[in-house]
Amino acid sequence: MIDEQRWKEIRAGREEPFLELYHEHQGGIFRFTLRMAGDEAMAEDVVQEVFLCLIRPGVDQTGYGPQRGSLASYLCGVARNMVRARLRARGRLHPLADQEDGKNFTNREQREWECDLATPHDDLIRRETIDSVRQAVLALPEHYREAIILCDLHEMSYQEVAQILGCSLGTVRSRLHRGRLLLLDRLRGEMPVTQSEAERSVKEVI
Amino acid sequence: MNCDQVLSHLTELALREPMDAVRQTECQAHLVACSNCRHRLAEIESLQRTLRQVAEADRRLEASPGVEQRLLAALRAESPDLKVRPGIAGWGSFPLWRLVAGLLLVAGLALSYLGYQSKLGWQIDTGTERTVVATSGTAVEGETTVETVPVVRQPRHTGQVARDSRSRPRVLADSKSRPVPVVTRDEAEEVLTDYLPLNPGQRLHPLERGQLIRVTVPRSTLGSFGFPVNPEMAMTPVKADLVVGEDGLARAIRFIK
Repeated sequence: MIDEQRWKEIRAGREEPFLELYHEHQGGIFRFTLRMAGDEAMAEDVVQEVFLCLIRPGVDQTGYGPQRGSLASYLCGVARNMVRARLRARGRLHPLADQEDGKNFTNREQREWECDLATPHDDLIRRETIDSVRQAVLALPEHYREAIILCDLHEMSYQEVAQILGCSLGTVRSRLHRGRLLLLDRLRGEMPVTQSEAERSVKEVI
Repeated sequence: MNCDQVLSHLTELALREPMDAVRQTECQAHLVACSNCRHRLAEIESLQRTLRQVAEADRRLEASPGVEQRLLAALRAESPDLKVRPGIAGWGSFPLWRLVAGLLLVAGLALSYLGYQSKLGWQIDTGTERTVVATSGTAVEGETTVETVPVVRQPRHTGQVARDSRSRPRVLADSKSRPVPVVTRDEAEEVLTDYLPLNPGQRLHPLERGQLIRVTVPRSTLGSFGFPVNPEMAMTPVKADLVVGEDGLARAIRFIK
């Protein structure tokens, strides 16, 4: 939540409260956009545009209020609109459906990958699995993708996600369920489940 | 319950989310009997574990520091309160020393070149209020213009790119004849930034007189001052005016479009 005083200070050009706000929220916006678009440059552009909306008088002065939920949700909603518009402009709402066979790292992920080449075999496998999941998420239809990213990667509550997506809780649950099943289909073979794991899962549930 | 009905509840079961007690009992009974659904449940749990690993790995990803710098520049430019504009303190953490060194070198080259030109017949008259000598030299990858100016304390600038307000035509130095209006090339269409300090961390002698030197610098220089720069155009030339004191030190720069 951001109070009126803090807004005024930011509008007056005070850097400290602005930076505080920026550091608190930029990571989440960046990661959301990166996972939605798979494009680091676009993620940075969107972060910049979202915060410019806060800075520029007249652009969004009345856009945010406590009635619109947490500031994080609000900013994420703004970022979502921006990334959707950009993806539409690119004509690639389902961008990587046919690219699952090849690795498609962002620069930063590539660096992470290279740094970890010397780590043990298990860690390497884990990295590959994580990358496969990233690619599979990116290949999901947009409405499933955003639900999975917000709920499972950003660990937001269903309520927050419903607010950001502008839909009901039931719709969020439904999208999540279908999105996860689609992910499983795409990842079949990437995450082999042993018989003992299956038995253990059932024991815990029952 | 059949497999399809159980499948619709597997996510809730895997995430241990609260569900209707009767349905939960029916699902559990089905799972005891159906190995396919047990396997499916384990797959969903495995997926959730992996998604948590992805979330953990993503947690360190952030926008680069360049975004913050650009936003701060925008914040300063949009600020209605001029007192909070970037002052000396605001530049303390700016990595300017490389730029300053480069610009000093450029200024030195330009001055040397102009000294050479003056031997050939060009003369800089410093006796008038404002004297303009325009040359078409190539000291710094293009045209160079030197203007000697008495330093006048100017009101705080706006921080935004603004049209050049200098509408009064300049005059060539000639104390005997009437001033002849001369408008330098493209002046009427120039868009200028503010003068930006080059050495905010240093204590320099107050500037009494200086020279305004038109130079050409790579577009990437703009990035050092917080302006957005398209990386693809980083090496394209941009014109700038450099304020050089009598001590030969470059004090400030403004960019020209």
